[in-house]
Amino acid sequence: MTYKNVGKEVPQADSWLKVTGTLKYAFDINFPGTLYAKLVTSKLPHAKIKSIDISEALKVKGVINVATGKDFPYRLGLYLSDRDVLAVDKVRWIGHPVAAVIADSLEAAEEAAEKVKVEYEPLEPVLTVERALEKDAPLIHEKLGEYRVFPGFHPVPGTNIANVFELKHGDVENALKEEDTIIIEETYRLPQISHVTMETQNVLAWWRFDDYVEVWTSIQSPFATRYLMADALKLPVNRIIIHAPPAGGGFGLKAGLGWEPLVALLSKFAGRKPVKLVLSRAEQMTSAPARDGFIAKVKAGFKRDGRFVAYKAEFYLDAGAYADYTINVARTAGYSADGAYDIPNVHVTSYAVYTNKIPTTAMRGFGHPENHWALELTLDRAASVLGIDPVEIRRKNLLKPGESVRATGERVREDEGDPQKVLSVLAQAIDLNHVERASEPWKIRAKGIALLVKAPSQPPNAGASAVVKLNEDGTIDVLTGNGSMGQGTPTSLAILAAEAFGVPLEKIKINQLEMVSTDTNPYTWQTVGSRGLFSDGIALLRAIEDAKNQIKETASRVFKVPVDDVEISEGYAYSKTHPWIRKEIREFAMGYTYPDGTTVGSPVIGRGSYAPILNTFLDANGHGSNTVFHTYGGTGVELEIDLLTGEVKVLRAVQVYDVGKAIDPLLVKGQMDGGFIMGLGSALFEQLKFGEDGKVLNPNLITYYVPHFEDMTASMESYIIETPQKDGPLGARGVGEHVMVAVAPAIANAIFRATGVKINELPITAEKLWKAIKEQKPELIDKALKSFFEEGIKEVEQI
Amino acid sequence: MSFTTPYFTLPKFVYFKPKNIEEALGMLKQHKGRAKVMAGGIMLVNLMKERQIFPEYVIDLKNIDELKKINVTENGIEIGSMVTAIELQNSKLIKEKCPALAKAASFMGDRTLQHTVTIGGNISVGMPSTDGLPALMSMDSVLEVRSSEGKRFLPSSELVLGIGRTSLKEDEIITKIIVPNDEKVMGTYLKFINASEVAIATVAVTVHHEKKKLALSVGAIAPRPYYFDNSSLQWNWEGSVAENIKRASDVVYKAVQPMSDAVASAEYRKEMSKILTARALKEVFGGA
Repeated sequence: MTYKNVGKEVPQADSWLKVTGTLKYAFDINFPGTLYAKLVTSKLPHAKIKSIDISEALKVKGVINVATGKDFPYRLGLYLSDRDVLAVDKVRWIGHPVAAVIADSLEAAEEAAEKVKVEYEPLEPVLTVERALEKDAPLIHEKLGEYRVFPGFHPVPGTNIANVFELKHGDVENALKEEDTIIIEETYRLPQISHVTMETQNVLAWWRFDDYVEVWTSIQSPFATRYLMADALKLPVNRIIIHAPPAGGGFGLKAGLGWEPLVALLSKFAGRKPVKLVLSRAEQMTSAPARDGFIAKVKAGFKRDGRFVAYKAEFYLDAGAYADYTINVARTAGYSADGAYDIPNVHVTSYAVYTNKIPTTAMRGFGHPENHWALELTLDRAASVLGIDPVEIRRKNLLKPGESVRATGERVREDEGDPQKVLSVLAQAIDLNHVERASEPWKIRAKGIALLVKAPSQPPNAGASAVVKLNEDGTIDVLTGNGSMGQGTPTSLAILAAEAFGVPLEKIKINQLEMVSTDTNPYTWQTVGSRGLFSDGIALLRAIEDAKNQIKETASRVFKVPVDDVEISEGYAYSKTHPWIRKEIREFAMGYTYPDGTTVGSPVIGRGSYAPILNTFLDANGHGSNTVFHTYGGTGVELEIDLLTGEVKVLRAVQVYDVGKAIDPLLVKGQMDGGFIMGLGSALFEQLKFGEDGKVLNPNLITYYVPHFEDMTASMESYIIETPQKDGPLGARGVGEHVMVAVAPAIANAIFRATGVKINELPITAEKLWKAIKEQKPELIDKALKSFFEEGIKEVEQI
Repeated sequence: MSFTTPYFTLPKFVYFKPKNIEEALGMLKQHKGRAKVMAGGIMLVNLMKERQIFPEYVIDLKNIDELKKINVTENGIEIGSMVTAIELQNSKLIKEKCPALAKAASFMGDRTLQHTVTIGGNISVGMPSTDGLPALMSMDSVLEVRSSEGKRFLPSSELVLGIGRTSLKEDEIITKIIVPNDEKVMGTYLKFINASEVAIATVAVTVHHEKKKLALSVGAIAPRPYYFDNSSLQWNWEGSVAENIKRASDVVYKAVQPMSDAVASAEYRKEMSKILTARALKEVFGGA
């Protein structure tokens, strides 16, 4: 199949606006008379609110009103309604919003926020998962049993367990007991990390006098936000209008329900004036959600020949104070714990556990950075014990498309991708067994790999829809619900539209680049899970088919040929049998008008929609069919460890992904590079640090470090494999999140392979690695010091 | 300085922009205890934003041209306290005569902020990870400090008393930094950071060949930078440099008593002081 637009390297459609600094984000939208909101947040991790005194705050000039939890008795949440709008009766973490000041200037709002006096009665804080699970641990959510729960989730009322998910496949206990089974037993951990979107969360809301609520907000999922808001505030869905301009980064932070209900209620509270809330970086990193902390207790069984026969794991996600999204992160980590491997016996129990720390939510690839950290490290540990090459142990155990069955009981589809090819390309590109000498004798060069597979984690009915409009001049407007947050999907959708319609790309305008509004754009469930191109893409192709059929219908009347004789290509409708009979499609845009004014047909507007076929919730054993496509990939790294300092410098990265069809290879490569750097940050630097009281100690980008230019890997190679997904749009599958998942495991595996030093917890900071080497392999440091002080300075001459 | 508070705005204050030193010193005297001097403003604005200080008056020195000059006088090289980090890096004179300072300036804030960061402001902050001070200490520089009562000279090593505390009085301003004008000066500044922009350890070295003088300062590991010279480092000008570097690194390792904090442990800082000392000396003596 040759394509005119698909497969070409096209920059993102909004690039010009971005590089000229003129793209309008939610942050940029302001109305005359807009009021400013400021949060007053808890200073204690767990406490009863005895009283809130707002009298001094109200005296500040410019203050309109101060709201507290009692003013807004609504419950919020995506999969579990465990959130309050502002703290009601008690606070659950340091940073929990207790009150909100509304004023006519930010200065007044901030001054007044300092004057709100809250009196607390401290409760025992629960700051670790271990403590939270103890029988006598204080309850963080006493009313867990009364919350609304989405089907398929299982909170345990009377405990701090927000959800428990179990996956059972085969007979793990027996397989682990077998005499010739070699056991690898490890505990792995991941810290809470921040999404660090460049644009912090911000919302402008206006509760209008006609009781319609308009919201401009930096989010990924306008329709989910609208529905959840309507549900919480007991309003008809179409009373709420969400406008979502391009978001300055999403990464899952902006996927669930955010601050929209609070700001809308504040607008009503302030006399129905528009109110704006913008989070500072410190607020973003203390009062808004982060990624969960993670503990995995793993027992894995292998046979001498490398066969992976049993995988028993307990996952504990530190969900923090709210788990309305994280319960699905825990479920996802659980059901996809077997990764890209065919393991006959699996038993995984995955818990989302409340603690009195910052709440958590979705983050890029959720569940998978967690479970692949455990799984991919375990494979390399096993490879080392068994004396097998890391590539070979994976090759032996990879899922076989068309044959294998996942632990969920789901059959691996024939057209799911080619995991063996992914591994082969990766292995060849990284060449694990050829490691060059390090640049200095006190450094070690190392190579490592990790694989992954991931499907969107979504409800069985996660649908999408699209509308296509043909304009008078033959240009085409495309509308979908797909939010733009830098991922590039709108550009890919525009390319799909141009291809399917048979017009040049510049004829297509994809409206959501400027804004997705729930009033004008068609529905899509959420822009998450790397589902956009697949789900919205299928809907879009159907809409284009519909529009083309309308053109064909009219053309057949004008051409006086049967409908099935009409074809559309290169911007023309023509008769297949009499190709000299043709007209530009623009002539049919508003129906075809004869010279005397007689018109046949009517304005062309195509509609298409999509929902997964035969997806189900998972049953009590974690069995069922809950995925629409899987994407396989892998990361290889070549790095150097400075044994004097423990610093790791990744010199070369190889990323291999089977994307089915690269609609825009430039965007695929862009995702691979961006995902690699994000993965690198989480591997080497990033961690929210908590004080003894659970307070976030580093809510700023000085002490919470993300990669800078000087930390970038000099050589990043990306390999695109295209094994078509039969039901994907032109064979494509999603890849947006995947690209960061295998990075940290590949780095840890490289370090382990070169030094034998095990690092089971991220981030691998210089000090952590230096200490681990000192503990596990002190001779490496001794040797490095010796060579540094003897050879390293030998060439220095006295001047 | 924790950068943990949520504010965008500053507490209210009155802003002055005096045109000369005398006017600035007069204002400082008049509003003693209630005014803060603003140089580049990086730290001051942040401390105000963090609600850690609430000055009623802010006296901005940006209009005072005499503080922005670099002059060579009989006293040595005189660097005005309002000279920016960019100017330090671009000055041929500073690069030649004060290489440790030129290099340290390249680490102050980021490239954009370096147009605003001033050497006077940078060292007056009194934070352990300040880049300017170890460099100035390695150069045995002296600070000219003025108040409306007169002027005094303060060795740079005596400026910082503890974290965020300096020996400057409330009505005093650093006006100049005076560095010996020596020939054939070599030097460097190394900063070790990892997983935080706050330094784990810094080392500044300045070597005067002809005078057979070497000074080294280790910063960021304790509230005040450590100072070593060729005699405390047991530097033997006749011996092999390799042996000297090894010995000096051991001296530093044994002498320093670093602090533990969220950035690094004392144990790690101690080790890194040794490594960084050796690397800095190696760089200066041509080992690259």
